[in-house]
Amino acid sequence: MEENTKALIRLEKVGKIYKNGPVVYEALHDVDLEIMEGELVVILGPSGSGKSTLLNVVGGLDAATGGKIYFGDEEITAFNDERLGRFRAKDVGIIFQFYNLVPSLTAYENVDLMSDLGIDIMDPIDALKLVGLADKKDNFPSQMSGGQQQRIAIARAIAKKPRLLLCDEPTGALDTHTGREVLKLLQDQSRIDGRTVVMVTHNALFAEIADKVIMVKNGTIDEIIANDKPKDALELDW
Amino acid sequence: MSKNLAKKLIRDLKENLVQFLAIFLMCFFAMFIMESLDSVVTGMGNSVDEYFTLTNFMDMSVAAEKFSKEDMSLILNLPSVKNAELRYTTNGKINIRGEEKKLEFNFIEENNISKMMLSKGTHYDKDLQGIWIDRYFAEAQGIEVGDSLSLKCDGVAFDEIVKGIIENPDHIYFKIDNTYTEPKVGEYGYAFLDSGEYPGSELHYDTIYIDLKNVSNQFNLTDNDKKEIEAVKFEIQNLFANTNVTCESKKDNGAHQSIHSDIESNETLEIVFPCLFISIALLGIVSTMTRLVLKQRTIIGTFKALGFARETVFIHYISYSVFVCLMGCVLGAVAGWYTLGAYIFDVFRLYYCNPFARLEISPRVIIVISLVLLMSALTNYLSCKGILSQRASEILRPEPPAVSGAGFIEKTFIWKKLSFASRWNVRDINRNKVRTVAGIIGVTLCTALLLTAFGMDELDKGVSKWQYTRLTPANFEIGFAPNTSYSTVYDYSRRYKGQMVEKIQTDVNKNDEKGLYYVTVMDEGNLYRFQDASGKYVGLPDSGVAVSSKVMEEMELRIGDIISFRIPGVKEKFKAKIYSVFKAPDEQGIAMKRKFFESINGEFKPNLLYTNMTVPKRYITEREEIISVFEKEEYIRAMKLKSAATDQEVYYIMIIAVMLGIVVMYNLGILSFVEKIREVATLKVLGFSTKNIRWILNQQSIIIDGIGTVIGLILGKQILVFTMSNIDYSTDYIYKISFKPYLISIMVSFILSITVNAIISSRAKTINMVEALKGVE
Repeated sequence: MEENTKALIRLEKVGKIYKNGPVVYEALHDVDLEIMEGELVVILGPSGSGKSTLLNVVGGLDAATGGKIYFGDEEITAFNDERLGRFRAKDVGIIFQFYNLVPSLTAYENVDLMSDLGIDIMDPIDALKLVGLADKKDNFPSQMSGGQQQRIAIARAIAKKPRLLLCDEPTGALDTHTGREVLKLLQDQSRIDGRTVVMVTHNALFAEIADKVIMVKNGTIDEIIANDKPKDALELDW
Repeated sequence: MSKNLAKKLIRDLKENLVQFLAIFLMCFFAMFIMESLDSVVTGMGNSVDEYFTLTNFMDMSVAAEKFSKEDMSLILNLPSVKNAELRYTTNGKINIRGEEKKLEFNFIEENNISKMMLSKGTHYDKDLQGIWIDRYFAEAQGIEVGDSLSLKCDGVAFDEIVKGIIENPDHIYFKIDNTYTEPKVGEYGYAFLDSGEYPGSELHYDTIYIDLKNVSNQFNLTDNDKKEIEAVKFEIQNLFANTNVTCESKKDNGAHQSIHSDIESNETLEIVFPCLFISIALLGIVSTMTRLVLKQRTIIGTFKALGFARETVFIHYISYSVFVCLMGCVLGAVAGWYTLGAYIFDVFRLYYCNPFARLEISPRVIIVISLVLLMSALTNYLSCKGILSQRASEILRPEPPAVSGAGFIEKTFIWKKLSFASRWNVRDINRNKVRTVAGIIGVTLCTALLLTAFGMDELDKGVSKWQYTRLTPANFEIGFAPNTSYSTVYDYSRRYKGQMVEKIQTDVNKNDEKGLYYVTVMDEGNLYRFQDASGKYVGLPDSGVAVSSKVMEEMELRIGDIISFRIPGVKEKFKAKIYSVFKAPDEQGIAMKRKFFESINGEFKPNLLYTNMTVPKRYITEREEIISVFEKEEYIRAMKLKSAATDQEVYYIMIIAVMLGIVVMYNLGILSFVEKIREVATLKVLGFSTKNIRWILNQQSIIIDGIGTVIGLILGKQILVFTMSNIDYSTDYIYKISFKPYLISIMVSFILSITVNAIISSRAKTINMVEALKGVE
């Protein structure tokens, strides 16, 4: 892989505080972080450590309560709701643990849904071919396995050719074999297409395929480990 | 909306078919009833207006025994009068193939006011000899232009050639004489002839038709039109103060009144029932959409996460109810037009001879549909706002369960005495206040609708019994010709052991408030009685008048007020104090004892006689002084026929009310169950038997149904009174309904609800505990 020199994501003293009546919970505290273009980054940490919150604020799904987040040269923490929506629509692809496909739309329609955002997307069939599911284009999510659904979700995310792919426990609901296939697809996004992939997981083994591993603990970055020789996803076993 | 979101919408609607079908049906029924009535009302109003405008329908008429050309000049000289025409109208006979038929003759000098409208033949011309005859009668009897007709008028037989087949706006609702309670189109007719064709020795004009300068509106009179007519009426009454002259304004004309009355009654129904249905539809939208967005919480979060704008997601979810309401409204309106609307139209055509009669779409329907859509969008927006306004990450997190107990009741001693089922239900109700309130409102509206429909049916059917058993129990009513002497009527009253009554339609005033009502003067007897609002018999006061409650309401009168009224041919106005109020099914007005009337210098001139002895029908033709003989049974039959259209409307409403009940109960029941499914599954996992669980669920539905039914009965009675009191300006009822409509309403709504809940709660038996406890989606 080529040496990345330019940061796609930059976080400066980012904090996130949740308030529920008298209860105040600090999910992120003074997080400083840089993610380079084309990197595959794995965020690891125990439950409640703040890794999903970190992913959410980076993707603009949630607003940070302190600090600044930059996407390239733009400060996304300064975006209003509308601009944030455009940012998510155009630059960010999101993959969820439970796929979050629209159950009443077919595989093709779930991917084609991105065209409704008014952005230029690849042909949904091509996107489905990339994940090896072109033959399932007319199937509804309920007619597919978990692994297939997750691949459709990946097709949906990559169809709009985003610069950043955010994955929240993408294999959390899958068996080892299927999970490996999904990881391979995500790894290829980084290796082949040069897309930045940020993956949140509690499975420490996934660190082996990452270019960079970020350890999160109690809402802070505990450690950042660079991995010079990432493994191929298909070599993993858990 | 984009194509993929549109597909999602259609598939989601299919998946939640029952809930959306309920909303669809409410809108369908609302617009079905509204459009069926509105198309008739609008078509009737506009077509009559068109007819009246085209034929320059008279603004007012003045009737007397005899008018001279000088009398007409006096009227023509009034500054507000544009034109006036003399006319003589009398009933005679026509011989058709050896059979005599009744024919109304109108001898005219001009044809510029209430003009004839030619269907076939030649236009009226003063120099043209011949007769212009009623189209409907001509068609029924096979009369053609050029035919020679054998006629008899004022005792003289003569022949005339038919010059034209015509229609005339004065005869849009035409009863040739008082022997008919409803028009019988084609059985009798009317004809126009030039005054020069009068076969008798001397023609005495008895009516002057007047066209006013500043009254341009032909059917729907403005306040200014009415004021103008009243002012001229006052001037004419003063002009002919010493003569027996009767002024009739356009709005008092029989045709005008009858059409207005039908329009009014349909307009009331057109508002009340659609309002109820739309309320239920909005309730359905609240419950269905709240549940749908809760169920699709993750999808909404995903949409937002994927970058869909908040507005796009809002529009998508608002489209559900708007689309369903639009379909329901449009299809309901179309169905209403072609079924009930067409039926009422056909019934009206039996009575009204209007060449322009048609069904018509009014802007009102378009406005109401737009309002329904707007309200549904707003209701939907408010139902979804909570979730849709949140950030993507918040929506994607499962909603924490609401922490809520049973409130203050938990701190009382009662709480400790409650069973587990009761505690569970109290807490469930407290936690789901919106759902509980929606359930109560649903049952309330259904019960109210049922009571209104069944109550209307009972009140409507009870009118003839009230009128002819309780108020005027006499078997026969004899109508006497105007100017029949008191001694003649008195002789009949002795012979037939009857009760004499004077009943005239005249102006009744209180200060500036004025109306045309019936003034009834009663001789002694027990064949014409009065009842108050509670149905108790009331006697007439000795030193004042009793007023019907409808008049009290319309003229804003109170007991103790002084009112004045006119008697045709008497210059002075009579004044009297109001002592009591009575209820009258129709012919609203004031009533007094003969003794009181005479004490204020009134001359008792009876024109009706009520008797239980049999009166031969032939008297109408044989005796000059008798113009009508009515038999009670005939009246009852006629009333039944007249109420056929209303009956049909009520039947439709009853059927719809029951169907509505089923749909609403099922919808609310299923929603409630779906929301409780996780808790039910938990109870099952903990070892509760299906029987126990069903009892818990049924207990709550009994409470909700009980509360809803009680409120529904109270509300239903109010709606019933409102509907019936506004249905027709001249009709009134004693709003005492028997236990039957109440019982039917309670039974139907309660049984429906219990049955639906029993069916739904039976699902507890087959509930898949693992699936139900898995997740929200």
